[in-house]
Amino acid sequence: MRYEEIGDPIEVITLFRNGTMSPLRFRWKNHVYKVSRVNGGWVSDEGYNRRKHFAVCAEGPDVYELCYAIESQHWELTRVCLVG
Amino acid sequence: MERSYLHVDMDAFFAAVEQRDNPALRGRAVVIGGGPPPWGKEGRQLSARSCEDAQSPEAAFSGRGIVTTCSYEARAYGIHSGMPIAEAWRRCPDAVYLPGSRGKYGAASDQVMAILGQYTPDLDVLSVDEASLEVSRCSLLFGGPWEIARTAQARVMSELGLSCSIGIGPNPLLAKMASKLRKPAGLFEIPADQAQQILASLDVQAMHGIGESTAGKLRELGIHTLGQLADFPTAILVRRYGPVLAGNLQRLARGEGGRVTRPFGYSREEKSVGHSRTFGRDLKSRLALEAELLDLTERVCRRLREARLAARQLTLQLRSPDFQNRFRQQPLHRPSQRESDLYAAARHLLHENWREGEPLRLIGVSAGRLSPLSSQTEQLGLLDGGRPEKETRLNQTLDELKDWWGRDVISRCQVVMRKELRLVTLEENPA
Repeated sequence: MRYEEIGDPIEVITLFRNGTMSPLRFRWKNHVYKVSRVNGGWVSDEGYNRRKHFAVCAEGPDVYELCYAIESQHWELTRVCLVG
Repeated sequence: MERSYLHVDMDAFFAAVEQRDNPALRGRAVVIGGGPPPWGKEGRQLSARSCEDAQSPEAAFSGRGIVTTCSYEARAYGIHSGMPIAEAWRRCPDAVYLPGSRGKYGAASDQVMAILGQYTPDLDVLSVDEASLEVSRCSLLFGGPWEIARTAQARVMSELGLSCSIGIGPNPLLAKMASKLRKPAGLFEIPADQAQQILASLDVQAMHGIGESTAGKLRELGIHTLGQLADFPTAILVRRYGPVLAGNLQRLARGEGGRVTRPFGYSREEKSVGHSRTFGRDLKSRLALEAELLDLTERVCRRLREARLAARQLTLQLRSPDFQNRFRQQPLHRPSQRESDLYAAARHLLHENWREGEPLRLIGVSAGRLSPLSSQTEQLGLLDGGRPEKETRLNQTLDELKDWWGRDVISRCQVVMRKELRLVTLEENPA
């Protein structure tokens, strides 16, 4: 298992429901990943920029950390935990 | 009305959050540690297998950080909080070592406390992973303490995927003790009428508030269990520890926690505010040490200002590579929370107690004899002119910037140069 810092912009289909948001699918390097489970989420602040982080599982055992910058409305794949 | 308290203690909290967020970590030994990073510049996780060029723990861990917490799987190897990370590596090189994320754990903690807060308004959040609840008046709404404990534990698990242990007791102290007796994911009650019987066989150090040092002194008197402490002649304890401490020790041993929700002897009022830093490599350069000293002093002063406290004394800690500690104190010429006053004292102590070129492993600064800041404590010196006022305004601005943009957004030049100064020192004096 190893962690890789990525920092790539990604496209995300997001569900907004009951005052919460959760990523459903994301596209990274022309491949679409279907989110099978959101394991956890947290928020970090950087000055005016509030970021919402999501640790998600998609296809396979790898874990992806997605980050949504609320101010700029950009999604980013922060890092990946490669399992196996 | 009989009072009932619940003490909720999250099980291996930081590691559990990591395991929840990354299912691949479940069932594995996970070690969360701070200090200088052993994970490489990119902040990557490092394990024995992924660090092929690591010849030894020392080589892999130039960092000298300590274990913040670890999963139960790691505890099976004897790893525990406070242990040097290099030692944890020696015991379990295959564990997953992570630097931790305050934001992540803080968010999880808020979620846990939000659930607990739905049961009672008398919620005392003791730390990021511990809370005490008074539930005596909630029985009509949610049932008795056992029912509340069961449902709260189940909700924390089902809604957040985190495990906690809950102790029930007639006072916060016994509730806390109970939470420790059935870990992990345990529920245990120490009823008032069985408290002495349950506590009697426990080691004195099992009592919350009796640390290693006090326990060692009690053992010198032949007191090994809480039962022995409760029955020990009070007069002898009074002679040894004084009436207040002796009385408190025996009350603790009998489980008479009263309204104590904090560790024994703990007060919400800060007695001192300090910061220390262990260096990845021993530092020998005066410039580098002074830069570290200024950085630590800035941190201390910022905390003093946040708490609106002024210090009357400064303590400098120096630790040599062979773990010899020196503590030197100096009174400040006026109560202060300003960098200029505290840094001047710290620098003076460093120059008085350190010889040029002597390697240091750790340096620490602590402000003591604290008092609330008032117009009297803010007294200006006759020869200061307008400087302190100017410095206060500057500090306020710096604090606001740091609150908003993060601690590293602006610093004094010497602090900014801190890391470069360390590197220069290393190049000059390769270890």
